[in-house]
Amino acid sequence: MKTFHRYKYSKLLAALLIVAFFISCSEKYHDLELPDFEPKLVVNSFFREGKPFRVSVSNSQGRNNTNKLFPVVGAQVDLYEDNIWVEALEGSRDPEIAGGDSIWKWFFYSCEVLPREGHTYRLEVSAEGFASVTAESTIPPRTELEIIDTSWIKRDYDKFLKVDLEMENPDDKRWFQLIVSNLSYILEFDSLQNDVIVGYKDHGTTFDINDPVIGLREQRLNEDYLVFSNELMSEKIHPFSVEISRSKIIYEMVGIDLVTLSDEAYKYMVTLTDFKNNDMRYSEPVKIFTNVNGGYGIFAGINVECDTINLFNQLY
Amino acid sequence: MKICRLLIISFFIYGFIFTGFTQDKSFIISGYVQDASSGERLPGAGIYCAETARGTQTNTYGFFSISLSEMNRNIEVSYIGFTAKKIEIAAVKDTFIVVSLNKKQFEIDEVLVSADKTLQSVQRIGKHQLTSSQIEKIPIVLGETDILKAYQMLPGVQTGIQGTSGMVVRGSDPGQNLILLDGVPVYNASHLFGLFSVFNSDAINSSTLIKGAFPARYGGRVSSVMDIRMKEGNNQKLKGVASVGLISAKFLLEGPLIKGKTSFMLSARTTYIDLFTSLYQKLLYGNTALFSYNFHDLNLKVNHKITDHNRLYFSMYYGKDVYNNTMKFDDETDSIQTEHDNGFNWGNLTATLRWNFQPGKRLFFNTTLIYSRYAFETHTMTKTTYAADTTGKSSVFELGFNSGIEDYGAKVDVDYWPGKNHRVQFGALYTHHRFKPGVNIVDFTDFGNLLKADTIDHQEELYNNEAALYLEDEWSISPEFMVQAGIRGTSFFTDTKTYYSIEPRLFLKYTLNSNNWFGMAYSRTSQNIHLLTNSSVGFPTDQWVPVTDSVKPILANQYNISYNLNFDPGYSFSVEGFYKDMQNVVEYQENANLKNNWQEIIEQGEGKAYGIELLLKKESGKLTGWLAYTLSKSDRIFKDINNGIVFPYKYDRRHDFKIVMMYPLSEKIDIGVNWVFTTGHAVTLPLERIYNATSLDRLFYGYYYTPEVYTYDTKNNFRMPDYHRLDITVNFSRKLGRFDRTLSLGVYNVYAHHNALYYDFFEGKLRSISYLSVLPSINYVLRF
Repeated sequence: MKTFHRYKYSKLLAALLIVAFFISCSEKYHDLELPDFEPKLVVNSFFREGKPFRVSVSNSQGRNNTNKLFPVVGAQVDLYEDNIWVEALEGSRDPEIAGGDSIWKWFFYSCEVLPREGHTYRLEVSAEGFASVTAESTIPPRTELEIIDTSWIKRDYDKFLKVDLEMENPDDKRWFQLIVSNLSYILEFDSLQNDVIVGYKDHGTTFDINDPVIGLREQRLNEDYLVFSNELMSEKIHPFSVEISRSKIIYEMVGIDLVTLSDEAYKYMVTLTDFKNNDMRYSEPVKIFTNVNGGYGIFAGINVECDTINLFNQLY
Repeated sequence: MKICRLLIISFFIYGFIFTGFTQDKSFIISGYVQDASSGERLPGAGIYCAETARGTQTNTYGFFSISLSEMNRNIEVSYIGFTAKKIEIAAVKDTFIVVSLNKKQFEIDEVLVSADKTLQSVQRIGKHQLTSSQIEKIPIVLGETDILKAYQMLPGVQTGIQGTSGMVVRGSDPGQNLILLDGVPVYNASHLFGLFSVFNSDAINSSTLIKGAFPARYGGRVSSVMDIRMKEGNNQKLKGVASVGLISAKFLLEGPLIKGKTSFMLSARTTYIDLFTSLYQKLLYGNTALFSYNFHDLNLKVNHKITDHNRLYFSMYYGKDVYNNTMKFDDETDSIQTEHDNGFNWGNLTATLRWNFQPGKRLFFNTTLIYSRYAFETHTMTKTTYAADTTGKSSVFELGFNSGIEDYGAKVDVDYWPGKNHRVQFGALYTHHRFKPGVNIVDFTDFGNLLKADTIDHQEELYNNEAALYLEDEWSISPEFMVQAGIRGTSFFTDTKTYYSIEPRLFLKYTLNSNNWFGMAYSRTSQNIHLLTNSSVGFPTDQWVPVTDSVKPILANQYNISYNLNFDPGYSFSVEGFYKDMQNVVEYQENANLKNNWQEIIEQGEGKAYGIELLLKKESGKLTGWLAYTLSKSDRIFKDINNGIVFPYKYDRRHDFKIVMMYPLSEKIDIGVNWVFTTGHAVTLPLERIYNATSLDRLFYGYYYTPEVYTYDTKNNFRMPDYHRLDITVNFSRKLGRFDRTLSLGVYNVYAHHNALYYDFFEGKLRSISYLSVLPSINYVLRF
């Protein structure tokens, strides 16, 4: 009887220990008391040749703070070109953005001055309650891109639009980003109440590329877009092709942009993707690249070469 | 070459001078000190002559030599955890003896013990030895006795992160500790992601931790030396131990193959945690998910006495951890089935062949051949099958990564006692290293068509050779004053470059009286291999890499000062200050892309660590144990990290406090209690939210849809919450016939304090995550 009781209690003890072991091994979450910090100005702008400057100025907020990020209104934003003061940018809401729950997100500082390739631009930004910041960048030279041919191919139970392209291979090493978009029309009524196309709206889309130089060896950030360099290109004109799944093409216009990135823009893109792929539990968090001295954000020159494909009557 | 000649000439001059001038009318007693019950040699045992107030200690293999004179023929031999023995040498002539010591028996009643001058005579700055009984009584995770965990209870030694085995000594990283098992380096000393060390405590005879005042015979790492020696095997009778715990079981068998001549020791350990986890998974997920984890290790040693002065040893260790996770799921329409399988395994294999030869009463040779291998492998596989496809083929993507390090080496160590006040040690070491920092293998087959099969050798294999010579003398200038001076020369050969390092070592000890001594030390050390780690947890993905043409060795200088006091029966108090500076410490660059060649993504900079350690011990009476407190600081600076500004090192913990107590409740029941407190380590947290610039630009808007990103300003900008826990173990011992049985019941983290392991975002907020709250354990041990 005694042995039987001992055996019963031993089993109970063993079961309790196992249950306690699993409970103990389960994850438990606890609030972290984060330290106070001084918010810094955040300056964001990708500027390109031939398009007006649009600079977003906001401020950083605490990680556990759930308030929406908000632009800083009333900042002093001075623009310099090659160290010569050009203009003070004025702030307003972007008139082309309609609606959205973050309507004030589209508050920019802008001016009529158009940036030029090869020139160095500097911003000096100050706002009440924040330390002043500065940032500087140059627009890199444009890189030519040409669409040579388009065709439809069938593969893997799907249909793909194959676009053959050629891009210029510059003498120096540069970084590029390839963007493929589906473009929808922005229509307005004219005086006769007819629809008139006044612009295009980008809808980013995914694409495939199998080029050994561009697709595999270089900094591939994710499957949706491509950042690469010309380091391994040997020819003056480099041919390659992209394939876009038919299921991703909704509108009849397809745009292909070859963006030449300044060093600052490239580093920012890389850290952005590292950030998205980072598992903070096991590795160091990613420090988002910034060239804003005394603050955060990115002020970077880019140059864009774009081309479009009209798929009129090909989608049906 | 120059260094070699210099050292050899120094030795001969030294030997001539001291042999010639110190010979007097004396005789030499040489021999071994061993465990009476097993015949195991005892390294570091003290041999002391009270009349001359001079002593020596046994070398790593239990051998000693001491000069006595006709008027002074009494010696006392002692070893930590053993009862000291007094011996009067009868014959006034050179004599070879074997001294057998008995383990201290457990005594309930308080015993007054006079200050142990013998053990005091062998004390050094920064050196700690724990007995096996102390290690067994210190409670740790899941009831498993763990040597490295036990040493983490000493001042100046910390754990990497909650519950892990990675040792952090005086603000340095785990890769700067030289962990030796029978003289062979062990490159990854962790099982179960750092929860246990690879050392089966049943198989261990002795262990020593040296944190400063490094003897010249040790080199290759800049922070500490953990010298662990396996049991040699009981050469008198067959003995064994078997134990079963909550998640693992182990056994040990040792005994004579030829009594008094050849003995063996065999031990093995395995875990069965995967039995519970697979059952748990099956209940929750059915056959769609399977997780398994297992580790096992094996220790083997054979030793053979050729003659009284010739002995041969063979020892090996093998251990492996295997983790695997499989998941299967179908899409919503059941038309596509996907199977993910990923896992990794890592393990060590070490082997030594050693020959001990004692050609004379003053000389002892040890020659060792060593082999050590550490390998890590990970794999991931995704298989997609389409229900509509009738061919039965599928699309399979497989990615594999493996890395490792392999050493082949030989060394010779010589102990020489040229005169009564000197003990000279010298030797040479040569190691051939083979590094495999990482190889990626990719296979992609699409419905039977091989689309891609590539071995991406981002990290090429590297072969290097390392050589070292050392010479040191322990000179008792007077009964009060002792000097241990040495020099070590190291060369590391890469393809096109050779790195040389001259490392002086100096230890001065002044004994004020029988209860007090004061010491100072200086050591210069170098390290020619680096451990690259990108996480705070001791993952096996950490890589060992050598110095190269562009990556330099770490060089460190450490300065120590210490005061030690023995008072009242069995009490000792020590205070030690240390200052350490390091050049060429290694850190990954900010936002390093780990797919690139490691040489392109690391930075080398400087480090500094300093502090003060207090240790109060009670080693006799009913209640034994110690209090340890460390106040320290550790910083780093790199040109291109943190904008070149000094930042606190991740293992910078300002305060560290430990209490260890062991108390016998009765003859059969004893209790062990730990309390650990340490201030939080430094981590980098993204404390600020900012707009994602691409979400504000129509060109990029479709791709970078995350409107906000999180970033930080300075490295290691946050302190994790303080870490503290209380552990208790109660041992019930009983004799059952010819078996000694011990049942241990323990609780880890008694008051369930939430000690953070890492942090993550949960429900939109940054939170810390902990495991291992109150964790009971049970362990049953049978000895025969």
